[in-house]
Parts: sequence; C-alpha cells; structure tokens
Amino acid sequence: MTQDVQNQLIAQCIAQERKAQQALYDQYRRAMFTLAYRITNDFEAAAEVLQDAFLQIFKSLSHFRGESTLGAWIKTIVVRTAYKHLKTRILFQELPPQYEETVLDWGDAIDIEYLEKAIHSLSTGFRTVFTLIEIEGFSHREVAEMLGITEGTSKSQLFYAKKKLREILTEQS
Amino acid sequence: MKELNKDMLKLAINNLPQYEPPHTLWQSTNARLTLTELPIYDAPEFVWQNIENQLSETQNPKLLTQNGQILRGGNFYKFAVAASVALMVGVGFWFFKFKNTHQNNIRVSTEIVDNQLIKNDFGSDDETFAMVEEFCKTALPVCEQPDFKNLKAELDELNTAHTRLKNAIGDYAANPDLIDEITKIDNERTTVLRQLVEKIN
Repeated sequence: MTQDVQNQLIAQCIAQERKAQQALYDQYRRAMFTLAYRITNDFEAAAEVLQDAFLQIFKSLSHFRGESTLGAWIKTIVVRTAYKHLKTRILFQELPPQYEETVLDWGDAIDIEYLEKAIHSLSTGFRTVFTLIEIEGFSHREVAEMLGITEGTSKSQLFYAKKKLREILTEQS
Repeated sequence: MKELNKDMLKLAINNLPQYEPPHTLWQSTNARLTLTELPIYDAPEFVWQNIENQLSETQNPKLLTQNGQILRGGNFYKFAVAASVALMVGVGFWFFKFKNTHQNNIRVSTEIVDNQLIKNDFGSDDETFAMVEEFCKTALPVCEQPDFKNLKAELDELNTAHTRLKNAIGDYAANPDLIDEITKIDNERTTVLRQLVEKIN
C-alpha cells in the first residue's frame, strides 16, 4: 500500500466510512489477532482484545501523527489492550542475570510446531516479552515503556524466556 | 549471553503460524461502532425550567392545611408553636403516669412520613430523649451495664451533633442538605433509643 493510498484510507476512517474501516481491519486482522493470541494465550480473549483495540484505533486515528508507521502504531495499541486484558497482573520478578557465562545453542533446526507449543507453555511474563522482542521486533526500551517495567527487567525476562524455551525444545526433541 | 545458531531461531520465528480471528468479529465490531455513532439529542428547554421550578419549591417549602391553604411565615410558626405545646402536654402526661406507676414501659416507634413534613419536624422527640436520661438518673442496674453505657455514649454523641446542626440550621430551615443531615441523625437517635428501651424493658 502506497503512502497516498494509506493516507486516503486513514482520512476515510476518520470520516467514519465503514468500508474504509473494514479495509483497515482486514489489512491487519491476522497479524494483530495472532499478536493478541500470543500475549493472552487464549483465542476468545484475543478476539475481545482485537475488537477493543480496533474500536480504540478508529476512535483515536485522528491523533495518529505518522511518527511511526501505521502498522507499528496499531501494534502498540493491540499490545496495550492485550496487556490490560490479562486477568492477572504479570509479576515481573527481577531475576539475577547470568548473561555472560551462559551459552544458548539453537541447533541446526527448530521444529516450528514445537516452538509454537513451547512459546505457549511459557509463563505470561516470559511469553509476553519474548513475543514483543523476538517476534514483533520491539526494543527493550519500547517494551519497558509499554509494560511499565525497567529495561533491565525486560532483558532478564527475555534471557530466562529463551533459556526456558531451549530447555523445552530439548525435552520435546 | 552468547547465542549460537540464532539464525535458526529467527527462521523458525518467521515461519510461526498466524491465526485468523472469527468471521463474526467484524460484524460485532461494526455493531459497536454503530452504537458509538448514534446521535445525541439535546433536551427540550422546558425540562430545565421544570427542574428550576422544582428546586425553587424545595428551597421555599410550603405547608398545606387540610383545606389547601398554604401556611407561610407567621401562620407556619403559629402552627409549629401549637404542635409543640400539644407535644409537651402529651409528654408531660406520659411522664406523670410513668412516675406514678414505676413501670418501665417506654416504647419508641419509627414511622415513615411525608418527606416535606419530616423536614420541618426534626427534633420533635427531644423531650423523649431527655426523659430517658431522667429515667437513668433513677438508677436501674441495667444503666450500669457496659453495652448500655456504650449505647448511651452513642446517644450523647448524636445529641451533640443534633444540637450543632440545629443551631447551624437556624430558625428558617432553608438549607436542604442540613435538614437531610439532621433527619438522618434523628433516625439514628431513634434507633439507639429503641435499643436502650429494649434493655430497660
């Protein structure tokens, strides 16, 4: 989608044109539903998150200033909505970092199905940080800001998430 | 931390499955969007005029006689004085009877009355409360029990609050909030009094 087409779509969405709103929804629905599912670990909850997030998106689209891409802006709203939707607050414990002496070897191949299952078996905190950084490409600073934690906590959560993932993958294979 | 073969992780992540939301999700989102777009209507002007009229009536209460005549100013106070005299005679008779019979038959009841009347009738049980105090001065053993004393202390506090509010309201009783407050206190006093009476009886 070119910038002009996107700008036109945004303008039509702001003008409450339903077809444009549906087009925007269709463009992002799979990616955003998947992201919501990875955070909530529940398809029903992910659907609720997606709906709430898009209602929020349409409501505040007039405030979108283009400082990031539209996709990144939408993604941030979905993450915040999903995080708010989690029934229990995530307790991010500050874990002692063992970065330097640890070596993680991902091996020659990773089974996608195993990896998917392994991600979903992680605790909410580990899963959320791993999803946001490794899958969605957010920085530790962005994650810290979105989840209200320190960058150090984000880094240690990611470290232990990867360590746990490696252990699960080894057990499964 | 050192990660070996991280490319394999990246590759696997890029191939993770994506999921489709339910087909009905857009329909319900659409419905919710429609709800947020429903028009907002302005209230007709007469609504505020009616509210304003009602407010004025509340601030300047009227008391109606049986034939529909409005009691105001001097008439109202004449009525109030007459009611007070009647109440005092009644209470005096009751007290006389009580002193002669030495029976502990004090009864208190609460009845729901017209709000307008209760607003202008607060504190009418003052004499009754005073008599309970008198009664306790004749020293029954029950008056020395801790729970009785606690209730009595509570009653004293309520009486103090009642007096303060009564002074704050003044002669014209024009502040509805204060009137509501004193009515609440009176109800609480009645409740406490009822508990005291139950103990005495």
